[in-house]
Amino acid sequence: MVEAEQGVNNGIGTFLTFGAKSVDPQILEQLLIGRKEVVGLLFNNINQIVESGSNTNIILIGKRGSGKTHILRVLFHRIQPFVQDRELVVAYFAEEEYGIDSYLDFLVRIINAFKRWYDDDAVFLEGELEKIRETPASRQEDLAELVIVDYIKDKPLLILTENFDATLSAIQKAGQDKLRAFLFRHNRISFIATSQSLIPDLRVEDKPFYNYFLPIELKTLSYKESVALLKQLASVEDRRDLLKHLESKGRSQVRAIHELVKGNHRLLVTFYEFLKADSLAELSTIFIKTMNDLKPYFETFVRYLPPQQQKIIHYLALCKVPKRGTDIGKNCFISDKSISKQLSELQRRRLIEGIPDPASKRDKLYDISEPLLRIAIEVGEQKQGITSLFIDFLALYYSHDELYEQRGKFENLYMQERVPLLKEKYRFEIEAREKALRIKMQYFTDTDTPTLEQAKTLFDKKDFMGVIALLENVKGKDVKVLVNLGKSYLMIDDFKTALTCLTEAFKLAPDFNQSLSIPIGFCYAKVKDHSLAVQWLEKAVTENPRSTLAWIHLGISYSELQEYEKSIQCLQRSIELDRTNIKSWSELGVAYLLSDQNENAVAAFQEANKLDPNDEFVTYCLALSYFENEQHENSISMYMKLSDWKKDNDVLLDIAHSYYYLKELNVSIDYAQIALKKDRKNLEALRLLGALYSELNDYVKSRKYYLKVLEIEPENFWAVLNLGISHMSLEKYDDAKVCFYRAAEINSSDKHPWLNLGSMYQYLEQYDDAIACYNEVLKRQPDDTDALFNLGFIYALTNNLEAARSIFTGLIPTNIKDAMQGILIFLDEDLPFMKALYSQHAALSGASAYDAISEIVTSYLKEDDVELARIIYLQKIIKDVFGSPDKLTFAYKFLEVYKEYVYDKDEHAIYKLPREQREFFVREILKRRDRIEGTSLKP
Amino acid sequence: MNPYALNPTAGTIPPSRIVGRAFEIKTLLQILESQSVLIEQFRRMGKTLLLQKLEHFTREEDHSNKAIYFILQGVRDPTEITDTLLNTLRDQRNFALVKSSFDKMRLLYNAIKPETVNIKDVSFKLPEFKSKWKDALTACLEDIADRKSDSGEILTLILDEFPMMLWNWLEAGKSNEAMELLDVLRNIRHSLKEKNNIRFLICGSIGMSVVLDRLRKDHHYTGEAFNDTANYSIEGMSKEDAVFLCECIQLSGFDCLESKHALFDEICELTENLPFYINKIFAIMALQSSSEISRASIKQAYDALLQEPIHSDSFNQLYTRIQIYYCKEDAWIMTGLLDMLCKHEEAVSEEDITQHIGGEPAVKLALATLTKEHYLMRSFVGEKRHYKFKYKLFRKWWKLNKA
Repeated sequence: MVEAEQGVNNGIGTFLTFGAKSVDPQILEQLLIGRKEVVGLLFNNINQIVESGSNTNIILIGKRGSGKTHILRVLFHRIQPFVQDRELVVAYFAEEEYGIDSYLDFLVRIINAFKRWYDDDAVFLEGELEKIRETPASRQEDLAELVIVDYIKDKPLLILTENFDATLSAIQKAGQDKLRAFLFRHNRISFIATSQSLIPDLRVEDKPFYNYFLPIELKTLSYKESVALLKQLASVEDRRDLLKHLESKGRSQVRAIHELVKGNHRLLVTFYEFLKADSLAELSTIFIKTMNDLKPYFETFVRYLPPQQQKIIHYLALCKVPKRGTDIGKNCFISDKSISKQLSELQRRRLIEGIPDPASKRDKLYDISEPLLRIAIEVGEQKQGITSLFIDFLALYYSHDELYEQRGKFENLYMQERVPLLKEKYRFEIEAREKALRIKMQYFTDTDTPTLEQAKTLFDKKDFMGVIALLENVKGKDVKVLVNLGKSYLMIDDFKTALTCLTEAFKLAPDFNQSLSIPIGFCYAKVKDHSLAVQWLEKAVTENPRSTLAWIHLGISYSELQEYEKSIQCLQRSIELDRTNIKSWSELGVAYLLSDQNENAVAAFQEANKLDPNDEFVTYCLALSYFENEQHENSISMYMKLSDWKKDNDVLLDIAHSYYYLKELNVSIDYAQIALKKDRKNLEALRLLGALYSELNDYVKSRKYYLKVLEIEPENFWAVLNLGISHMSLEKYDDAKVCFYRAAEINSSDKHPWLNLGSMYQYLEQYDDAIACYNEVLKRQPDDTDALFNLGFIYALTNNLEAARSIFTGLIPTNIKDAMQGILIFLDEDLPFMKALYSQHAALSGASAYDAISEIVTSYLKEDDVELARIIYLQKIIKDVFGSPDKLTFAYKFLEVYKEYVYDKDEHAIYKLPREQREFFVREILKRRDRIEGTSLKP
Repeated sequence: MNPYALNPTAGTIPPSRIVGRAFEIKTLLQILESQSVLIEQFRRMGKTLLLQKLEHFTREEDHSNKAIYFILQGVRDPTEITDTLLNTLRDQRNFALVKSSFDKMRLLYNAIKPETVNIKDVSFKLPEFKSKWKDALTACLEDIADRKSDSGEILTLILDEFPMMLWNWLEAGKSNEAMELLDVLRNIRHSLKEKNNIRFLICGSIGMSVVLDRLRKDHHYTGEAFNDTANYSIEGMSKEDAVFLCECIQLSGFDCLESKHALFDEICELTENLPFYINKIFAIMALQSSSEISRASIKQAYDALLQEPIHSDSFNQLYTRIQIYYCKEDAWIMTGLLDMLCKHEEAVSEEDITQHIGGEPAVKLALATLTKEHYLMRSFVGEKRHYKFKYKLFRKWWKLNKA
């Protein structure tokens, strides 16, 4: 392969050229701003051609300079490994494949492309071409097809071709028919082609390639992307000065350039030179040179158009303002019948654009779509040549104050200069600035303070960067300038600078008619100085007690200081002033949520949600408050809504968590898996999956996920602990032991490693070790009921009945159920002891003892080895110790019915129970027993 | 079968990777046991892929009916047709299938060029054979019929884009050649009937009726070239196939953000299981939603498909084919009907339609044509004929973009 060497090692190491083909592919990779996703998608498709035997047929649609060549070049470079391993054969056409006029030509270009990139085969391929040349014309196409098919053998062929629109129109329908037939006969050929527009050959039903390609439209760059591209250019050139400039004052210049080139990739690269211009003289030289260079390029846009369309373009270019179709027709002497067709054809070619006419709903206004095309046309038409255009450009590129300053600088130079030629040059620069200033001033003829007026207009248009660019260079900034600047910085989230401006303004004029307390307080809140924020905002509510905004921000700041009651009061006050303010409700909800008042939080967020059901923040908070309030179905519905707007993993994991608590574990797994697929290292997803599989008793899988967590975070306490539990469940006791001791090391104050170790030793009947571990638990939490119960259990098992009794009786105040369970099941105590125990406990909490004995009865009856003797014993306890109170009637009856049904074989015994209890008894006790014994229960 | 990765595409697919259509293939093979078949359906319904899969299937399964796929697109006149068939037959796999010594063709060839010739080098696309194209085609088809074959073995010759080829001839002023070819084919089919070992599967995105109508109008042609063939129409995929297609495309690099099955059901429902539009939805999602599938991204892609010019152009055929293949008056009535019907989700009675549009006989004819062309579907309420758009997707596009 020639390409690999030529491209990387010998390619031009810069990007300041019109041809992406001559630029180093690695640089091109770095400059894929706004195109990364498309390239990723195309590369993935090519990958699938190789890996899964799929085909791909894509056409990239984009204007000149939108990065089509750039994309193909990067792709061609990326797929080199496939090409070199001969997994894919590529025919990468030259950008301008001039002179294709037939289907045969197209086939020959494919063979030529093989020749160009497959160096080793060049001689062979030339021989094949020679054979084609020597074949009668009627058979040449067949032979050329055969040469291609034989050359690619059983490998897929990918054709990368540019200007495919031109190729299709050149080979005409006859050639297109043949090409399509060829592609269907040899169906392992893929295309990634480019075109300036979706031409009729691709759009009209009776054309062979109608709907054959999936179109991808290359959009122009947004302002942000333009900034990113210019920064990337500076970074590739290691121009730190320029990078700094772009992050500060240069932004207004980028905006001017962006507007001028309308986000066109190639032109942005060209205009990058403007940013590098150090001196003004240099700027004018570069401008003139650039425009002269661009002129022939843009002339090609117009040269091949039909005469009527050329007239329209010229007319609109010189008008400078959008025009109605009827006006265009009249001025260009084109009939009404033809004008709409010509205009729509020019729109389709993307040379003009239609804009709704504000004066008439039925009419449209038309304007040149590329500002530089206008300038290129103007260059030839202007009496003063390029000079007046440069002045237009200056007016757009620099702020009023910058131009003013520049004029002064040139005036000084002019005064000092003695060389006539240079003096003349400076005079030109002065005149240029004066004219540019006059153009700028045209917008402000009605006002004495043009800069502030303009700032206001820009601020109203939300062009905050524009305001900053305009006001930053104002010398001797007064209060108004500072306030406007401060507010603009605040709007672009530069709170520190905003604070500087606003506090300076406050120092200059503490009685400024517009209260500065709110914005200053707000800025302090944003820079996390909540104490100062509260001070300023308290001042604000004192100055203006009816300011909803002030109350809201004060509430937020109190909330940040964890003074939730104050926060809630402030926010309630703001709601009293304005019940329709969504921010008041949502912040009130936040304060409730943070102070664990979940029900109130739900109510507040519901109010906010009513005001704007599409507010993302409110929807999220409502979901969260439902979650906290254990209303999981509601929380899922909110998270789902949120997932329609937000594609991040957090929402997916929130949904997964909600399903987890709803016990829909498989659905929860689905969502956690999706989140994990998006981010293979998402700890929360991995941890949740581990827990979910544990719940499903699939410990092999849960272990896998905990191990993945530990690959990323080896000291993760919960992962180590849960890994131990998984090992234990899989009976890998040694591995489990290692994990529990490691967890105890990582967090020595946590009881869980010891609790788990204790239960493992207990299970393994290593009672001494188990007792030691439970004692470790009790060192960390002396009233831990699990440890106490298990200790009692071990003592009972090992006949240390005194110790067991002491532990179980000690448990009574904190956990009556475990206490009685231990006493009744393990110790088989006599009735007098139980009576004494109960009377001692009854005063303390009689009711909970009833609940405990009821639970003990039902859970005992669910056990596998129910004994008649114990049933009788439990009945006696209920009767003799507790005196058969109403609350224990059903526990007693359950024991009775069980005895009759199971031991006396009386199937009708269940009818002694009322319907609800009978159903419970059948469902929860008898069915379970029958399942165990394999018998079927009669209704 | 397990799903396999498949790029969303609008063009070719290797036959082994073409998804679904098992039922259609089974049905076609059943029909082909006794007669030839004519498939007429507008573009992007998956005709060609079905036929290529049919060819692939008959070979992989060693079916007693072997199919060979010929594409006739780009054949400019009758002198090229035999060479086009021969080029396909000369492909190694087809050559082994058609066990013929091609004696009749050799004889014909040697009558003008007496040297010994390998069948692989025979070409009738030479000036000296210009007047012999009928003989060449007849010889070619007779040689195929005379091949050595097992008893009961059938060979199906799939002639894809045959009507389109003829239409191009008509447009290029070659109506006589078109009529002659139709007559030759009819005669050959009659003469080969006894052998009963060849079937034709004629397929096209424009109907043969459109071609024959034009020949009738312009040249009083009365030939009934395909009156003994069965008509077969291709609809959307079965739900199972459509979901399988979604699964395959998803494997090419898409992520489901929600329950996969619910999402695929939604895509299939919105696209009415039409494979081309399933591909389009995925292709749009790849761009707009970074290959993430969710209810929202499907909705967004569906809206873009119907509304954004770059994507909604893919329905343009619904409009343009009426303008291209029908006279102005008929086209005007047809678009009027579609303009009216697109506003109704439910079927509208013929009575209401004629009351609204007027011109009863012509409107009835146009309704019949649009039904035949698969724009509309006809139903009966009581004894009254009712019409509505066959596909909701097409109705919606027409309503949004044309009415």
